[in-house]
Parts: sequence; structure tokens; C-alpha cells
Amino acid sequence: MRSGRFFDLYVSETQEHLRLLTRSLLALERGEDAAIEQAFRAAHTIKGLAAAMGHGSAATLAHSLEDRLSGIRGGGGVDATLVDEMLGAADGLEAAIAESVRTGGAADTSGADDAGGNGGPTERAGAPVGGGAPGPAGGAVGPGSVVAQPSPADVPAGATQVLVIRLRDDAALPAARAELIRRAATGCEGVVGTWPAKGKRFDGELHVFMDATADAGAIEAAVRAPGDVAGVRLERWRRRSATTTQDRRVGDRRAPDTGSVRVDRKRLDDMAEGIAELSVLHARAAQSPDEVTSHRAAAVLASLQRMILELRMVPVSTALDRLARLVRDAAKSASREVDFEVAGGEIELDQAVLDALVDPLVHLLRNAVDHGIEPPAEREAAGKPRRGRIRIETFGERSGVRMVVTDDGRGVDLDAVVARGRELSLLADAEDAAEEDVLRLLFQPGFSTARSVTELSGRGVGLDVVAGRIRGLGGAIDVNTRPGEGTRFTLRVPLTLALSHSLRIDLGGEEYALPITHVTEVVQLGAVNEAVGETGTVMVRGEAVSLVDLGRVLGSGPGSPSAAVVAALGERRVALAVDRVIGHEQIVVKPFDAPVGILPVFSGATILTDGRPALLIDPLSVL
Amino acid sequence: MARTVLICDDALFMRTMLAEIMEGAGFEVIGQASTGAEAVRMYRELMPDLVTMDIIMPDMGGIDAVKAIIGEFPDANVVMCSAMGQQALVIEAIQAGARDFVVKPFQPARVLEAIQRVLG
Repeated sequence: MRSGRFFDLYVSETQEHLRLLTRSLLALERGEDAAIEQAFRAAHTIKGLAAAMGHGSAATLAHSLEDRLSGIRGGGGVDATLVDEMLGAADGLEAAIAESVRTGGAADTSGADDAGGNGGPTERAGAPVGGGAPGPAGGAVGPGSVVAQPSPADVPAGATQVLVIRLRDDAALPAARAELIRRAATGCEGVVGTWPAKGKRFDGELHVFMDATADAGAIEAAVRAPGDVAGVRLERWRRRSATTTQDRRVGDRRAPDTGSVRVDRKRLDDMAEGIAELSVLHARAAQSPDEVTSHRAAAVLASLQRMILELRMVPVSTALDRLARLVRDAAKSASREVDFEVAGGEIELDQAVLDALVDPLVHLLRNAVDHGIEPPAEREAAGKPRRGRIRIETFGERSGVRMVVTDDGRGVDLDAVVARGRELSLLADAEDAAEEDVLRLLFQPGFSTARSVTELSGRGVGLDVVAGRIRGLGGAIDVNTRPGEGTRFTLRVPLTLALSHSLRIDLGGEEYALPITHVTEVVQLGAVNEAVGETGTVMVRGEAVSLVDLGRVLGSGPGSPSAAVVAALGERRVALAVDRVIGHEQIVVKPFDAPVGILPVFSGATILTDGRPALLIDPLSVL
Repeated sequence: MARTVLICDDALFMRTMLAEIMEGAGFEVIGQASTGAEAVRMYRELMPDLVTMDIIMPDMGGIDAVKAIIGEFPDANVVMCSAMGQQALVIEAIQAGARDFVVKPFQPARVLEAIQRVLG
């Protein structure tokens, strides 16, 4: 491994500061002058990290960013163009980090292992004497990329000019040749340092830093003497500016995934301790099984489960901060003025759930900007504030997280949705459909994708995809809208994908698991029963809730329901009649490749504690 | 007067080839050694203007031989003969005081270039 065990740490830390940087740049644009300090610190930290990692290009970018920020700090003033430029530089940084992840952590100036395994500098592959076909350059320098450049941190104090010595492409053992040149250079007066340092990856160019007293001509003669020099150029040392501003598609920004998390040492120790205790308990149980041992084992296991789960938890703000940038860019390109607010960003979710949420959220936010928020003039004409508002609020719930995406735009055009629904025969012509039924059409596959958005003059683009994704997470989505006032999407997802609290229920002699994410309560069905028909109702806390016979839905025939599980999403509730609620347990949800034609009511599978498989029921599918 | 060269390589083929290249260019090959220890001994005896030094050899490798020779004669001109893949060793030799290096398979022009650079 080229850059060793610190690489993952480097990437995750840099990403953290990049998020901070983006967030503060956006705040700066909103006129929050205090954000400049944070932006500056973030850029500065990234520069230090990148330099320490030998990631020269990232360090250079961060440095130029830091330069601009310090200019603003000195009273330079900010405008949208400048913020654009700086965000572009942040993109460049992100791309540089992503690139280094892609190349397996080969930083552009990282130390590398020698072909002979001696830990010395790398030989440039494909540089045989007499020039065979050049092979790929060793790792870091991909096709079309430029030779690594020293970062500002590599420039020794006192350097005012630099001789850049380029070796011939066919030079054999270029690092060894560079070593000869370095030796020749360091013997000269006025030379204050060379780069890359001894033992670091040599990329074909050696930089010889000189102070003001140096005789560049004499030094050039000295560095040419060892041979294999293709060219020498003299540069007054200056910092290179960021040039890698890329125009990337909105929504493409995704932090590279190193698949790693940072773990507190103490926590690892605790977990190791738990495992050790488990082994002892296991040994004891093997000799003489007893209840005390079993209980203790269960307790240790539960605490280990919790610790491991906690390791996977990250604040939702880690994803939402990236979305702020997306909203800004989308608003800009759609000529909208939008304020984006995040609340509850500190609430934690399993990284895997959060990752899976990003795409649906991107979709919702884009829709909100493109089709929800009206153009500024239209808003003013309607007596609304010129700037639209999009807000993501996260709430922690008992067994999951609720995320509410609200905009104050024009709302969904219900008439258009109804018309479209009739056209697709999803609504009966005569039916005077309830608003919530109409809105639910938005989540129907193919409802809106077949038609141009403007014709629908509302939203709904790809909402079926969004709903599918959320359901795939074991979550649910709901929508409310008020014409002229805005739209609100409510997403509910479990805290984690791996473990799920669920109810074991009995239906016609079969056991099923029912994730409790959306379950609000279980009610006993009295002897004097409320009509359990296909759409009967049951009284729950003084309110009538539709009662659905789950046995009928599953086709297992009418059973003898004794209880009803009440599930809720937003204001909608449903009670599912089951024969019996057996108990409550933690289950591991198995990935579920639903066969074609399977009832949509099943959302996954699991192995129950007694070893039998069971299907997972999605209570909201019947809503 | 012709400059004198000591060739050190454990392979006779390599020694012969180097000798041919150098003699063809007017150098005088005054000795050939097949181990590092032999090279150090012969250097003391013959005091050549230049030594070509193989890296991997029995009975004291080239790196140690360079260290021994430079330790005793700091102005000695040693040119390393390396195969591809020995870059780290070559760098070590340079740090020990080797003046230059050539890479196998030898190309006469390259070998002479290096020798002329070193001898000036």
C-alpha cells in the first residue's frame, strides 16, 4: 500500500473539512460575514492535511483557496462570482481527493515502495534503456495528468526562485539520476533545498530551490552535469493557482467512499472486552448450560450490537451539507432565489441508510427548486417573499428518523394530477377522488415520467423512483400540499439497515415479522368486535381507523383476528388485523430480491430467533 | 596516457563486454574482479582512475565494496552497474559516494557517456 494506513483517515478528515468549507462559503454568500473565519480555517486545515499526506495538487488548491479567503478577510468583499470561484476550487479539491481514492491512495508525491522491496524510491516503469514501449507510469500519474508539483509547504524558507530540472523521458532509473543531480545541486551556493525529498516518489522533475544570492547559471551547469537532463527552466517561485474548476452536473457531487469510519480507541477496547467476555460465556455454556450464563451472554451481545451500530451512525448533516450546495446550484441555473435550511442535522443515522437517502433527497430538492419554487417575479406578484424557502428537518423517532422536506412554492396542481390519473386510467372518471388518493398517484410508476413536466405543471418527476428507494430502505414517504403555499414530503426511515425491531405476528398459522418503524400501537380487538370486513374500522384512542384484514391481503384466508397493529404515516393511519402478536424481537433484515409478482406487502425476509425464516411485512403498503 | 579502469562483475560475460566497450574507446582495462572483496583489494593495488561496480556479487556485494573503497579513498571514481529494479540500491550507492551508474543491458554509448562524465 502506497500511502499506508493513514490514507483512509486522511480522506475522511479532508472530507469533513471540505463539507465545512462548502457550508461556510454558502453562508458567506448569504452575507454571514463571520463564516469567513471558518472557511479560512477549513482551507488551512485541508492544506496541512494534504501536504502531510504528500498530496501536492490538493495542497496547492487548498492554498490558493486560503489565499483568496485571506484576501476577503482583509476587506476584499464577497460577491456571487467570487463565491462561485471558491466553490469551484472546493470542487477541484473534492475531485483531487476522489482521484486519490480512485488510484488506491497513491498520492501524487507519496513515498512509494521500490521495485526491489527496499522501501526506496520508485523506479519509473517503462523507461528501459533504449526505450521500449513505455508502460503505465507507476500508479499516481494517470493518463493525461501533469507532473506532480511541490505544495507550498514543500518550499523551504528563503526560496525566491526555482530551477525545475526535467529528465529525459527515456532516462533509466530516474530517481537515481535525480539523486546524482540533487547531490550536484546541494553542493552549490544559494541552493536552499530540493523537491521531491530523498526517498519520495520522483515524477520526472526535480525542483531545486534557490535564494536570492544564487547564481542560477552556475547551478544550471552543475545540475546538467550528471546527465539525462532534458531541460532546465528557471521560475521565480510563485504559488500556482487553482485551475481545475470543473463544471460538473448538479447532483453528481458525492464524496468518495473509502468505506472507512473513524473509531474512538476507547470504543474499540470496549468491544474487544465484550467479545472476550462472550468467549468466556460460550466456553462456560459449552460445559454446563445455565440460565444465568445465557442471560449474561444476551446482555453482552446486546451491548456489542449497540456499540457496533453506534459506530455506523453519522449525523445527517454530513449528507445535508452537500445538498445545500446542490440547492444553490440548481436555484442558480433555474433562476430561482432560494434559501435552504436544515434543522436537526445533528441527528444520527446509519451511514448506509443515509447514503441511500441521498439520491431520493436530491430528487426531491431538485423538484422543489425546478417545479415548486416560483420565479421571483411570480412570487412577488402572488404576495410572497421574493426568495423561496426549502427546508429539511430531521426528527429522531423511536425506531427511526423522520425527515420532512418542505418548500413554500406553488404546490402540486391537483387538477393536473387528476387529469393525468384519468388519462392513465388510474382514477375512475366519475370518481370524486380524495386529495390524498390523488397525491398518492404521484408515487405510481410511470405516472409523470412519460410526460413533460411543464404540462403537468406540478411536480412528480420520478417520484415513483424516490418512493421505491425509500420503501427499499424499509421506510415510507408521504406528501402533503397546499396550492399556492407549498409542498411537504415526509420520509420515514429506520435508524439502521442491519438490525430492525419488529413484531412477530401470527396469521393463519404462519409467522411473519412486522418492522415497528411505522407501528404506533397494538390494540386488542374486543369480543364484541367492530366489523372486521375488508374496510371496516376500529376505534383507536377515540378515532376511527380503517381496519384491514391482513390475512385477506396475504390470501391466507380469513383468520380469527385478536389484535390489530396500528401503523401511521403522517396523518394517515391503518390498523392491521392479525391473529396474534407473538412478541417483539430484533431481527436482521436480509436483502430481498423480490421475485416478479410477489405481493408488494412483503418488504424483506429474516431469520427468526428459533432459526425459521419469515417474511417481513410492510404495514404501509396497505395504506 | 590512457585512463585506467578496474572492472568488477561476477559474470565473465559482463566483464568481457565492458572491457570491449572501454578498450574500444581507448581506456586501459588494468584489472577485472569477480567479487566485492577482490575489487577492494585490487583497487588498493592498482589505483585505477575508475571502477565499474556490479551490485549483486558473492563475497561482499557492490554496495559494501563502494563503501569500503570510498572510505579508504574518498576521491575514488566508482560507477555502478545496475539492473532494472535495483534503483533503491543504486541510490544507496550514490549516497555512499558512487559517482554515476549505468544500467544493464549495457549500451556502449551510455556506458562511455557515464565514464566520460565522471572522468571529465
